[in-house]
Amino acid sequence: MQHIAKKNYRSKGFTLIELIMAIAMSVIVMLGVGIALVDSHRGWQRTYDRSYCDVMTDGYVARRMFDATVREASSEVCLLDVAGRWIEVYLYANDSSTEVDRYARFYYQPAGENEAKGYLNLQYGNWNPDSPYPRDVVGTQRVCSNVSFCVFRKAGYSVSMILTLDNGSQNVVVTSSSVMHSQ
Amino acid sequence: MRKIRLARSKNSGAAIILALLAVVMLFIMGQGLLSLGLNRRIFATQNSSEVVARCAADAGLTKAVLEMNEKLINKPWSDSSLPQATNQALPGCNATFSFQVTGNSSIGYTVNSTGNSNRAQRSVTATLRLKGLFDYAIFAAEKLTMENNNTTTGYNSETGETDLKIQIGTASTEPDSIIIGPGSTIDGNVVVGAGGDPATVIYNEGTIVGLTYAATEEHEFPTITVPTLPGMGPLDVPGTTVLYPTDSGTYDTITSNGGILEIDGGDVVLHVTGDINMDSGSEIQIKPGSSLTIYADGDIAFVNGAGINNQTGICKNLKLYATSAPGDEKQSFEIKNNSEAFGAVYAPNTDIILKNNASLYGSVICNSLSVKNNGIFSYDMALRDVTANDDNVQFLIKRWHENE
Repeated sequence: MQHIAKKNYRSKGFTLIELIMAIAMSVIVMLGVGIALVDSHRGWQRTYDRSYCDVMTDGYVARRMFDATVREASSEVCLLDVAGRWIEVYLYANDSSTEVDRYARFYYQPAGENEAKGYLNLQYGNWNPDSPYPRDVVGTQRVCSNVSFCVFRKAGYSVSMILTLDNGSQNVVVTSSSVMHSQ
Repeated sequence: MRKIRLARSKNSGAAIILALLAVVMLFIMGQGLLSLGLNRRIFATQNSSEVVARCAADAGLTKAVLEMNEKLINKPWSDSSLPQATNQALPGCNATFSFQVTGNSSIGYTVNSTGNSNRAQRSVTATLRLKGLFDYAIFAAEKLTMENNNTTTGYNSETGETDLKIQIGTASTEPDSIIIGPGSTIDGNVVVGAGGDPATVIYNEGTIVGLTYAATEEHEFPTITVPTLPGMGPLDVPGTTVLYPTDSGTYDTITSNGGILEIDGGDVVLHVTGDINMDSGSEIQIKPGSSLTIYADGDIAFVNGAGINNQTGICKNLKLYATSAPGDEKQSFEIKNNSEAFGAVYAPNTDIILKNNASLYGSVICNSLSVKNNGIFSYDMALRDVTANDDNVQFLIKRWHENE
């Protein structure tokens, strides 16, 4: 009988130590999972903020615009400021153009008196080297604001732009390098 | 003893449950982390595929231009069987490219090239142009000197346009490689060697109307391809000698002492393996309706009033090629014209001097050029208009654009 009672008592469930151990392990696992989830959420939030903040979208637009313009530019002529503050490339308007007849100038505009940061602008227009005033300005477009640093470089057929955008809370460095494909 | 063993066996079930629980939790965590990275990996793969597809499209375009240039070797040019390719593999990656060249010699040629990598596809279109040796008005491998009161401008003998902007330049990046003296005017752009600083390479005391800039790449002087011609021995011109197209050939030397060498009846091509010596008022006359092309392996000397008289007044009708390449022993060209001269000179290994009050119409590609005082140099833009049947031409990409 004594043997039977002992057996029934043991088969009722877990011991207190087993329960404590199980709970402790569960807490550790849950904490691990929780920390991982919170970290990943924070990481995602940070990535989301970086991906969709104004300086990031501005930088993306600047890179795309620079890339699209330079890739179609003529490799024969490309003017670059000695300090790298502006670059001017020349393009064909269409297939019927026998010579380059468009120009595009990317330039850094420093901050004004009451402004914290500068701008990246694009001036574009018609180009006629046989005219006394070869540049016929069609328009000037502000590519992006919050520009704290901008420099252009040239090496062979390749042109690059290094742009730092800073809105006070986010800081993004945009680097774009493109090859001039036309003659 | 048997009962005690049974009880112990039942206790070990808790550990299995806990282990299973831990495995399930770890599995869920792993799945979560994997799914977090999945979108990023897909995005990165798409991006890299697009880059590879773009490279493949450009590779197709490059191959199309290469095949067009190889096709140029076989004369006469034919617009049939223009290069094309379908799904050619790009070595070293999983990309393929296809291209097709369309067009003809009258409307020009267009290349459509498409690159594929995985599911990404990129397509580019380029128009081609033929480039000859005379795209520049004046181009010197080393030094270019325009002394006082010289004028350099452009015109087009075929369209009648005048006052066109020209391009002169040097391949050098050394200081003062281009000297423009007081009163001299360059009506166009001045180009210096790749990597050079125009402010130091150009010593300007005159006027440059256009831009000054450094070339994007080092200038290449193509090696001249001399056509195969029959051997004719030496040519001596004692009195008046007339050469017709049937007299085209390879001559050992050309010498004259007061004689007249007339070029008549069409296009005459001379390959001179030795020297050309014209002395004492002797003259080469190119009659209207004719043209002369000289390939010179040796030196050329027109002295004591000797000269070339291109009576057609068209620069294309007199072309003078020096066949030595830069780095070879230099050839000497001594040509002194008092009045007007029409022609194009390609001599990248030769030093040329234009004397005072000379008027030269055409183009000069040389090692160095010195234009003395009061000279007028007029570049004929018609020299740029070359055809696929001309020698020493090549296809280049004129306009490139990517299709959306």
